[in-house]
Amino acid sequence: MFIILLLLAGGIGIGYLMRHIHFLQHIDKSISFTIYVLLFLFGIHIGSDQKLIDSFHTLGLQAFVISFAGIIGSLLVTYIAFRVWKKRGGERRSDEE
Amino acid sequence: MKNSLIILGIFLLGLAIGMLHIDPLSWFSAHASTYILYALMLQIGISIGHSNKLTEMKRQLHWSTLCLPLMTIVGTLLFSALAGILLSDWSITDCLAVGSGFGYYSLSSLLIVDLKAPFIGTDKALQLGTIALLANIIREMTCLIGAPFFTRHFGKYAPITVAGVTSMDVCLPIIRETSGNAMVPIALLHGICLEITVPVMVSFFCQL
Repeated sequence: MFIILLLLAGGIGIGYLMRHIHFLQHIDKSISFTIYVLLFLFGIHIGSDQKLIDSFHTLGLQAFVISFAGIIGSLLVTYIAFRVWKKRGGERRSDEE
Repeated sequence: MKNSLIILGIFLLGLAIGMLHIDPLSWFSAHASTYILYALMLQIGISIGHSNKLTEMKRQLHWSTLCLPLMTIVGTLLFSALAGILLSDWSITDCLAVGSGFGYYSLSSLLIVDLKAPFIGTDKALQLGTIALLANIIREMTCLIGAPFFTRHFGKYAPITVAGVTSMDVCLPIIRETSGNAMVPIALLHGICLEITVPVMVSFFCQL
């Protein structure tokens, strides 16, 4: 975990220091490529695991449950928070903008 | 959208090749992934630091604009924990790790496979990674398809919060269309905040 966060933070630092080097703009392409490679390997890994393939429908169902829970949760919390905020300071919002 | 289909296609291609049981390939995929993942994290960091995302963030930084990403995080985690109680196969922290992908399906699933393996075993980690991939793709698709519905019934912040990380790229056009141009900077900041949150939170919940 620490290696991952360290690499992320280090990368942010390096990127910030080298922000005038325009060549680095192309890093998004190499990120996409790296993600493709990793997902390809991830696919191979899953594909070679027969037990996992057999349980794919269960995993899909569980993914649906977690996904919809997250969506409903963020919708509700945002909706309620902004309703409360509007009610308490409807006028104040104009000076935020 | 096109990019998501490419990603899904590549994943499925890998899946098909894996089903052919070419042993050296699966050995390679198990061992090389960690280092490629490290390379990915470094690149993502460089991209965040190099782009004007940080200056943009500093410019927009105000407690009211930070509210929305915070709401997304709180709401998602709260209900992901509920899902964890509902699903007997997975612990609450497993579901929190999946939920804290916030639509960033590629990174969250890859991180989960790598970081969960030492705790719950490779098989289980692969299963949870698959769930993370699917769940976060579903989240992005839901926003792409349902944005008009969300705006109508829950207000103009709704599609942004549903989009999660993708509010800054894939879902930005539809958010602009349904919530208006004024929401674009908020959607961008929302996405940038969550992009930084995802690796931190996913690795955090993988350790618990």
